[in-house]
Amino acid sequence: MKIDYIKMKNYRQYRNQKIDFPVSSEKQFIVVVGGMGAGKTNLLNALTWCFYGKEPHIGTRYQGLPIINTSALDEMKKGAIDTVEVEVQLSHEDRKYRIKRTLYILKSPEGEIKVLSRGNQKDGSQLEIWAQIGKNVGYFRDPSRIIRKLIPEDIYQYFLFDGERLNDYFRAEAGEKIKEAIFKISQLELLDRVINHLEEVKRDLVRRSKKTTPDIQRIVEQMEIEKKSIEEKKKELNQLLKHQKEGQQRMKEIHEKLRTIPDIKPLAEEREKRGKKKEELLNKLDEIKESLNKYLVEMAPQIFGWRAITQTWDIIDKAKEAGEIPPDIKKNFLKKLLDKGCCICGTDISREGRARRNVLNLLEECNEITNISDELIRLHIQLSNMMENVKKFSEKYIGYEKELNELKKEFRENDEKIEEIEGELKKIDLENIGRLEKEYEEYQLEINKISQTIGLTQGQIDSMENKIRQLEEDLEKELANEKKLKSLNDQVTFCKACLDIASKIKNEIMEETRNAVEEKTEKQFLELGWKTKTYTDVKIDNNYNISVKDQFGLEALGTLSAGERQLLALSFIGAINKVSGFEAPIVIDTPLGRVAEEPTKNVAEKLPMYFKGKQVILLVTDKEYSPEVRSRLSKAVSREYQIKFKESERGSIAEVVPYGE
Amino acid sequence: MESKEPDIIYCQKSDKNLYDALADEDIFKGLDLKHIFIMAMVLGFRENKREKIQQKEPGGLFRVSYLNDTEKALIKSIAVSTENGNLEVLLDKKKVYSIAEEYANGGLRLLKNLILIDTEKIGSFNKILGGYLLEEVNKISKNESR
Repeated sequence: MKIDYIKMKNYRQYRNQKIDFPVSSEKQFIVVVGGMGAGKTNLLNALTWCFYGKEPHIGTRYQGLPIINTSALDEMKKGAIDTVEVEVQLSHEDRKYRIKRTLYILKSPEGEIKVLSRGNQKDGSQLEIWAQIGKNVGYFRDPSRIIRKLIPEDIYQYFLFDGERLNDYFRAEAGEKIKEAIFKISQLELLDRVINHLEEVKRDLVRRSKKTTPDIQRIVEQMEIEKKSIEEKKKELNQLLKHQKEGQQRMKEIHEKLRTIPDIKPLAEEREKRGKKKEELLNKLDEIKESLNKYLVEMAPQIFGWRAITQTWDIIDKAKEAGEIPPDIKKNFLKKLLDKGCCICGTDISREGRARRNVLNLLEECNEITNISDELIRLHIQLSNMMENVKKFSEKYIGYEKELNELKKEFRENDEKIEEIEGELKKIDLENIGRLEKEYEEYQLEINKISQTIGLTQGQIDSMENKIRQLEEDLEKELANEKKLKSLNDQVTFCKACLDIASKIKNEIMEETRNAVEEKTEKQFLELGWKTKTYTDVKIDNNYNISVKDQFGLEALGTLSAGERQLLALSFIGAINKVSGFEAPIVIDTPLGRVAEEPTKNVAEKLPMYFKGKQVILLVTDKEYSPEVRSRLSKAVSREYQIKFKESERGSIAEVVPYGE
Repeated sequence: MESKEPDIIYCQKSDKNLYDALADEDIFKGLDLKHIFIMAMVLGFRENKREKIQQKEPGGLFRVSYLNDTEKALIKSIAVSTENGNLEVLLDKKKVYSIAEEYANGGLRLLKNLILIDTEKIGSFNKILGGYLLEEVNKISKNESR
């Protein structure tokens, strides 16, 4: 990579300046000579400002001053806007990159300077990059990315540096600085970012894996228990279903058998009805027979005793007709009167006399039966009734007979019907039907019970299956967790492996780079130096501390002169440039400022060798660029410039012109 | 000679068992010993078989008070008829019932034969009895109409 030119407008002391840096493979050096404060360092600043918006090398003279050229500012009208611009064109491979940074400055009516944030950068400046590839021109929307790619900001200090500050490498914390230099030049930042990223990823994975605690064993065990229970329940269910099926089959068979048998129910009902009727008829018959018996037993004496009855009735009847019954007076009454000796009329009949004789005559005439006349009258009536009864006997008896015959007929008919029904029923195997019906009912009851048990068992199975489904879902989740955990663990392992590899690579690169830098530094230092016999070794140890050994093997870093330190630093910078492989041009401000006069000749002679193949822009003082130095560098110098600096009341202006004009 | 109605009707001591046996027959089912007695009495009267009781059953056959008015009237009419229509016999109640006992004693064998023997030959006694009675009543009716 080479810088084709730098173009500055209103940047610091440069009002309008373009400096070309043409180099060839043989003449890769550009020398810009300027006195103290002429603008050499601001050339370096112009480059860093253009690339990164920073001016790290700004001198005390310009600190606090506006970036805009003071003359230009002075010329600006109040309220006017002007710009500060630095444009650098780089050639890299077959492309040309034009990088331009512009800052808009407003001069307020009060004369104050204000930076306008019109650009795409944080500081308000506008950074633009165009690239020309062949005939095509491209404009980059993310210029910072291109800058990072071409000249990373982290390592610019190893390309664009102040020679006077090189010595700092070997002061306090040198090891850290060298390590940082090697780290940065090795482009290990990317690897470090990878490592950091992997660490973050690993932490996240570990955190996530801790949250994922699979409980597979418990779920599997629970599932096993549930499955066993289900198997048992299913066996039970199958057994029940088998029994149910067998029962239903048997019921079907019984039903079929019963279906083929004639319907006995109406017959049985008729039989029962007839049976009851028979019973009723029998009772009725018995009643009538009993009644007839009673009647016969009652009437038989009256009929058999007919002669006595009628004879007695006749006698009493005649007595009645004769007026004997009832008698006028009862014999016993007369006897009582006589016994009393007093008639009912009050006549004394106790003594013999007419009255007494009359009574006795009456007594003589009075029959004995007069005493039972009442009885005879009653007897007459009773006998009359009996005679009436006898007369009615035939009718009543025939009535009984008729009734009996009718009942008997009815009874016979009923019996015949019963016989007929029983005949039909006999044809049917009633016992078997009863047995079958009983069996059918028993099966029905059994099947009802089984069905209920089946329902319960099925319910239990469903519930268990639901539980298993839930457990399966849980298991799936847990397996997924396990898978996730495994995946997380794999990822953690992978991360660890990546980290190990990245760290190893990093360390290896660091080590390789350190070794290479050590080797190159030593080689260049010893070749550049003039005390080749005094110093024998340059070492960069594991802690990146640089040490220089003398011919006696003793540490000589502390005894190095300022010039020797500058040379060692240049050797180191040269080394890391070579080792880095970056094609960046080198801009060194005051490279030989601290080197004594004699060694500068040596350095000048060796410098082209240090940075072979690289464009090197040396910003040197008149003193540094002594005729000896110039002559020794001349073969490698493509172009020489000198800065002419004018300072007036209105501001300072530097102008870069060909050397010697 | 006047006498009071006896308390108890007697039978021959040896006939008590026969009374009991006849009481088990269908014709007398649900009836009392008095019914067998009356039946035996009228049969004895009809067939003129009047036999004195040689040895009375000590406990008697039944109480006279069990007899209803119709039965008593029948007993009285048989006594009157037996005494050739002399109503005065009714004054001697003991005699009246004694005549009845004697006819019953004589008629019991007839009843026995009729029930236990004839039944076997012809059929149920009530049927036979019914037939007899109907025949008797027809005869009575014929005589009455003359």
